[in-house]
Parts: sequence; C-alpha cells; structure tokens
Amino acid sequence: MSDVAPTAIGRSTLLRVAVAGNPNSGKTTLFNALTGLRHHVGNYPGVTVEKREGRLTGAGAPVTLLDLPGTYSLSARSPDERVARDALLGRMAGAEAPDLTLVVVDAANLERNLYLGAQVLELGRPVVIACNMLDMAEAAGLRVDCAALSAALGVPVVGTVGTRRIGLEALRASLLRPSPRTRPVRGWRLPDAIETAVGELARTLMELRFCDAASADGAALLLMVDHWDAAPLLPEAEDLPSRVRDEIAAARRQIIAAGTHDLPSLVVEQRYAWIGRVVQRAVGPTSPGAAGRERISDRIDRVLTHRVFGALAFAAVMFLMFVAIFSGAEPLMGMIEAGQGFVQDAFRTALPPGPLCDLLADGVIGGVGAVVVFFPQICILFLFIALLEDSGYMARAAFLMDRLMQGVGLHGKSFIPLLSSYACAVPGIMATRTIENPRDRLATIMVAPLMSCSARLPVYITIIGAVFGASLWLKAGVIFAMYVVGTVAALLMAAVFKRTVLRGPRATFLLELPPYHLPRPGAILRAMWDRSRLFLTRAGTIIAALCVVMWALAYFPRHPTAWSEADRRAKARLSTAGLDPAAVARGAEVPDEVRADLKRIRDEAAGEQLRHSWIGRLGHVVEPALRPLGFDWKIGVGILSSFAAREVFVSTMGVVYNVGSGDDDTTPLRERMRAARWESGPRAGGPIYTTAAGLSLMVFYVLCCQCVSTLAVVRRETNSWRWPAIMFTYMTVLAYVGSLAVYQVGTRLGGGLS
Amino acid sequence: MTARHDGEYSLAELPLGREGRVRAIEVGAELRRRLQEMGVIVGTIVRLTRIAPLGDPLEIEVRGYRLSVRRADARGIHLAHDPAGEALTAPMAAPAVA
Ligand SMILES: Nc1nc2c(ncn2[C@@H]2O[C@H](COP(=O)(O)OP(=O)(O)OP(=O)(O)O)[C@@H](O)[C@H]2O)c(=O)[nH]1
Repeated sequence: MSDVAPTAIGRSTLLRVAVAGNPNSGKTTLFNALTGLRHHVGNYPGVTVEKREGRLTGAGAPVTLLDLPGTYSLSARSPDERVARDALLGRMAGAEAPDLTLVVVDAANLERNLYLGAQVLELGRPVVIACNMLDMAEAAGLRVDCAALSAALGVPVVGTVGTRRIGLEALRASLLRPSPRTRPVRGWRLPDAIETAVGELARTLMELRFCDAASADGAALLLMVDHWDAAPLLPEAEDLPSRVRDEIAAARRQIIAAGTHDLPSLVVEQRYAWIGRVVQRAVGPTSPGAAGRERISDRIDRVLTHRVFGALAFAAVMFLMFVAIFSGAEPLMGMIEAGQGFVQDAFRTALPPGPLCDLLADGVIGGVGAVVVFFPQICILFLFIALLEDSGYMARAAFLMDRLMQGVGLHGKSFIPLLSSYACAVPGIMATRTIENPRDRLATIMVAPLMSCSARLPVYITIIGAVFGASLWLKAGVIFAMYVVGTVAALLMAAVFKRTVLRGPRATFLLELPPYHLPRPGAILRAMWDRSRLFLTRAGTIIAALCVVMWALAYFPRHPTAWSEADRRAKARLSTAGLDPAAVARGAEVPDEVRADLKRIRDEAAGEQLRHSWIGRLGHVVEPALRPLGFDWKIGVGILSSFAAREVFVSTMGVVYNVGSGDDDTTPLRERMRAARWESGPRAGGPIYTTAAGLSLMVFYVLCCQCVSTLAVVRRETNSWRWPAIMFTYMTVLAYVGSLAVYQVGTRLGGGLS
Repeated sequence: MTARHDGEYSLAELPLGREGRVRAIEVGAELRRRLQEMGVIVGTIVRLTRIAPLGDPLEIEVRGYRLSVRRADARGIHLAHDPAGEALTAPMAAPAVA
C-alpha cells in the first residue's frame, strides 16, 4: 500500500454543503437532481432521523451534499430540528460545521420559508439560497426577483424549478464558485439591553468553543429562545455545559429586568418584520388575474375533503392500498418462498447431511427468507406512502382523520401506520416516521402490532377449521370478530399509553396542507426504494439472527434414536416393496403408496424430534400455566415456536401432530386437532379444541406479540431495547388475560361442551 | 384570559371564508411557539378556508399557505376586527373559497 491516502487530498479541498429547507420546499427534488444516483441513505447517530449524503454530479466536483431534515425552524424542539441545528453548528458527533449551507425556499411561500432562511443566515456562515418553485409562484400570481432578493439578503440567490431542472446549472456553478464567500449578518436588531445580554452569551459560547466565532451570535439567540420557557418544551434535556446554562439564566434575568418578559415572541416578530421588508423589495404581482395553481388545489380539495365524497375517496384510497399490500404482494411472496425452497434444496444436495447442512439450509436460509418475504409488502406500502406524500394527499388524510384519532389521544397521522399494520406491523411501524411528535409516534408504534396482521390469518383459518367446521359465514364472522378485537384493543391501549407512560402536554396538531402536485414516478420509486432498503439493512440482520435462534431451539437437543429408527423403517419399507434404497436415493421411481408411507415415517420422526427439543420440553413446562386458557402442551409448543413468526404455528402443529409441515393442505392436521383429547387433568378424555378453547387461542394470537420482526423493528425505530421489552410484556399479559377471560367465561356458558 | 370586547372573537368563531387579524395567541407554550414560527403572530391576517368533514380540524390561510389547526387550539387564537370591514353577522353560507 502506498502512503498517499485519499484523505491527504480530502479534507481541505472537499467542500461540504448542507442542504436546509422547509418541508415541501422541494429540497429532496433538488438534492436528487444535484447528486444524481450517487447518494446513500442512513441515520443520524442516536436518532431515527433519516440522513442522506451524496456527491455533486459533474466531473470530479469536489463537493459533498448533506440533506438536513426538512424543518420550519432551528429551535431544537423536535429530533428533526435538533439534528438540523446541531449539524449547522458543527455539533454533530464526528462532523464539523458545513463549509456552505444551501437553503431551499419555496418561492410561492416565501415569507414562511425565509424564516428558517433567516435563522440559517444568522449563524453567520456562507449561504447560497435556491429560490425553488418559481413556476408555482408565477401560477399564484407572484413575480420573485432573485437579484433583488440576493441584494436584500446579502447572499447569492438562484432561481430554480426543481421538477423541470431549471436553474440547476446556475445552482451548481454557485456551489462550486471558489471562496472566499461573504458571511451574512443579522439584518435586524433587538433593544440595546437585550443585544448586550445576547452578546455576552455569545462571547461565552466562543470561549467554550461551543461553536465558532461567526456563529456565536446566532447560536446565542437560538439558545436564549429555546431555554426561555420552562424546560419541558425540549424533547429531552440538552446536555449544555453548566457555564452556558448559568450564562443563559443570567441573560434571561437581565432581559426581564429590562422589561421584556417574552423574548421568544419578540424575536419571532422582529424576524418576520425583517422578512416582510425583504419580501416587499423582491416580490411583486405578475399580470393581474394570474392565479391558477392554488385554485386548482382548492377545487380538488373541495371534493377530496368534502363531507361525503371526501370520505368516499379516502375509503377508496385506503381500500386500494390495503388490497395492494394484502394481495399484490402475494405472487412475489410465493416466488420468494419458492426461491428459498430451491436454495435450501441446493444446499441439501451439495452438503453432506448433518447439523451444519441443516443449520445452513433451515436456520440461515430460513432466517434470511423470513426477512426477504416481507420485502414485497414493505415495498408496496412505501410505494403508496411515497405516492400519497408526493401528491400532497397525505396531509389531507391526516386532516380528515384527525377528529377520529383525537378520541384516543392520537394524531391524524397515526391512521395510515395503523391501517397498514393490518397487512403487517413491520412496515406500519416504519411508516410512523411521518409523525413528528415523539410521544404520539411511540404510542402509535406500541399499539400497531395489535392490529390483526396478515400473518395471523393462516392461524385463524387452521383453528377455525378445527373448531367451527367449514361454514363460510361462520368462518368470515369469526375472522371479522378477531379484527374487531385487535382494533379495539389497539385503540384502548393507545388511550392507556397516552394517559400513563406517554402522558405529556397535549400534542400539537399543526399541519401544513401543501398544494397538490402531480406525482412524479421517478421520485416516488426513489423514495420507495430508499426506505424499503433501510428495512433490509436495519431490521433484517436482527430478524435473521433471531430466526436462527428459534431454529436451534427446535433442532437441539437431537433425539438419540428417532432418525436412525426412521431410516431403518424406511429401508425396510422399500425392501418389502422390492425397491433398492440406493437406487431410490438416486431418483428411481417410487409407487405412490410407498411414497406416502415414507412420508409418514419421516413425519413421525420429525414429531418425535420436536417433542424432544428445547421447545418441546418448554411446551411441557408451560402447560400448567396454559391450562386455564384451555391449551395443552402441544398448543404450548405451537405458541412458543410462533415467537419467530405467527404463521409458524401451522407448520409446527403439523409436525407436533405427526402430519408434516410442508403441505398446503391442512385437512389432515385439522382432523388430528379435532380428534385431540386431554390426556390428564379434570377434563381428561374430553376434546381439547372446544369452541371456547378455539376462541381463546385466536384471541391469544390477536393480542400476543409473537413476532421477532416487529420487536426488531421497534428496537431499531426507538433506538433502545426498552420499548420492545415493554411491548412484549404488555402484549403477553394482555393476551394471557384476554384468553383466560374468553376460556373461563366460554366454558361456563357451555362453549366447552360442544 | 383577556376580556372580550365588541368585534373580538376567536379563530374558531370566524365564518368560513372570512379573514381576521391576530390580536393575541393564548394557547400552550409549545403550540404558541410553533404557530409563531409558522408565521401566525400578532398582526398577521388569517382566513378560515375549510372545515374538516367531522367539524375538526380547521384549515386556515396564512401568509399565502394553508395550515391546519384543531378547533380547540383555534379558540385560543384571538382576532381583532375583520380587516375587510364585513359584518360578522354575515350568513355562514357565504361563498367559501373563490
Ligand atoms: N411545481 C413545482 N413542483 C416542485 C418543484 N420542486 C419540487 N416540486 C414538487 O414538490 C413536492 C415536494 O418536493 P420534495 O422535493 O419532496 O420536497 P421536500 O422539501 O424534500 O419535502 P420533505 O420531503 O417533506 O422534506 C414534490 O411533489 C415535487 O415534485 C418546483 O420547482 N416546481
């Protein structure tokens, strides 16, 4: 290796640009256009705020771009805002302040967009402003003069239309223009007494190297305003140096003594007053009467937020999304499962039989398959979410649903994550990222797995088949009832969470309703892919690992004789049929009845192995606890193995009842279940799968958190094991109590007799 | 709470499609800061543009964009006289958004 490391040229010549802007300003559009496909998505350390970095396109352009979260302000009151502020101040772990900040503003909405712009300018570091959405401004009857804006703000302003790539070259040139750049200064003043106090705080910040000299004034102002009210406004206590804290408190006393009791309001008002003057110099009306786009949005809204049509349209969109996730992913999931089977077979033929082969084929490939099989559903959900967000309908959905969700203390934005959880809680939980308030988001995450997901369906169908017979109406009715149980439980638990552990000041609901846009396929596919991929990388590894663990629990310890016995019996069966075992192993023809016998022998060995394994033993251990719910140890084994994933219940029960696991046809299993009798205890000899026990088991599956994927995703999304632990505990308790109640009440009402 | 005078009312009482000038914001500290940062400050003109089908939340126009606030919060946003000088007793069915 040579000594010339790339870093030797790196540092000094690589220009680091941060991209800031309001939500819906077109920041992502410009970022993508500037970086092309060369960017990667990750996370800021410690928070679930998406972090996107990329390289400016163009031959060897020595510029990296960092996309900051879209925020309305730099006050650090939400994780997004905290990240944006800290990144701009160079207070993010492992990253200095950017060399240049690109502020994207929406020309059609200039005043509010320039509020964030003003805060960035006050940080005193070089800024370039992209005045985006000039087409929208024009459609709204506004003519924005970028040169005048630049003169008023003291920094370069480039007019752009992100979607049509207009102004992109000028913007690129502006980013590449060599230093030195002018440093902006605050364009407005506060009363002298306040300026003095802020100035003192700024000097302290400089001394402590809290930020560099240029940013000190802006940072001092931000800190003063953020810490003016009592602390609870901040999401979590900020670890400021104690000297800074003292200095803030001193400045506060000084300012109050000078007669200002509400500094934050004064600061906001001064900023907006200054912005008003800037905008007046740069914006004028176009020709009178030119006002198209806003009107179109209003006309669409008159239908889409209408009392009747709006509700119908919303129901239709949700139904479509639900059907797409539910059934659209089916063929792909079938293909993934087939592919998985193919790879497993390939391993089996390539490797000598034994634990290593089984570990790779069943444990590892099975575990990876368990992750990948979710992928189509996740992609479809994120496709819909990207479509809803890009078009502007997402905000309307929250607007429509907020009243309903308020009842249980949730937010309009909780609706879509909860609805998607009917398909699968994993994408549902990932979709909660659109909820800014951390408490609302957590409450939504915590109840999402109660929504009856598609993995529970095979379980319901098997149990219903064993208990209720084949009546279509009864079947549909029971399944519907399970969905109702799950939904009601989710809403009740949300209310409980919001009143206990997640209690806090009433969440603010303040939502911008951006004008509708025609969604662009490229941007949507891009957004879908970026988020779906995160699922594979963030949750996939944990899920696969836990699946291997579950596999091992069912695989070890090995039964001492079952397999050799099965081998002996199989050979014996073949020789009675006059067949040569070696020839059969090479693929010789086997008559059907011999094949069926061989399968039975294999299934019996598998059953013995499972009963002998750790999980089988655990089933016996937990039986006393499960009896009051109406479950025997075999159901216990089914439940325990379901902790990897619920649908495993069906295949495990197949193995437990010696009918094998691989069949799509569960008739033999259902017959065995119907015939199952208690071996001991007060009900000895009586059927196990009574109506009460069947309902109890289904309620257990509705309420219990038997899904390592969900827990892994919660771990990732909340960044701690605390919330998955709480989720697992409360749901297990809920499931136990719920099943207990159903079984005990059910048997007393006579359901146990049927 | 501030005493109410004639011609003063809250955003929640504004007839659909009408404008008012913000006189005072009396809501929780966090919401107050957010509203201010989003441009709803004393002196700003707001217009009620839409009401959600279930009666809550409201959609207002402020500084040229649309913002949704809950009715309960809108009660804390006090408005001064209607800048257009229109009488407040105008029928509720007045044409909404042109
Ligand atoms: N008419 C028009 N639409 C634009 C322009 N730039 C972006 N858009 C559209 O505006 C919408 C929002 O753009 P995004 O790039 O997603 O905005 P953002 O600022 O990243 O928004 P967040 O992702 O919410 O932070 C999308 O539908 C874009 O297609 C523009 O210059 N003109």
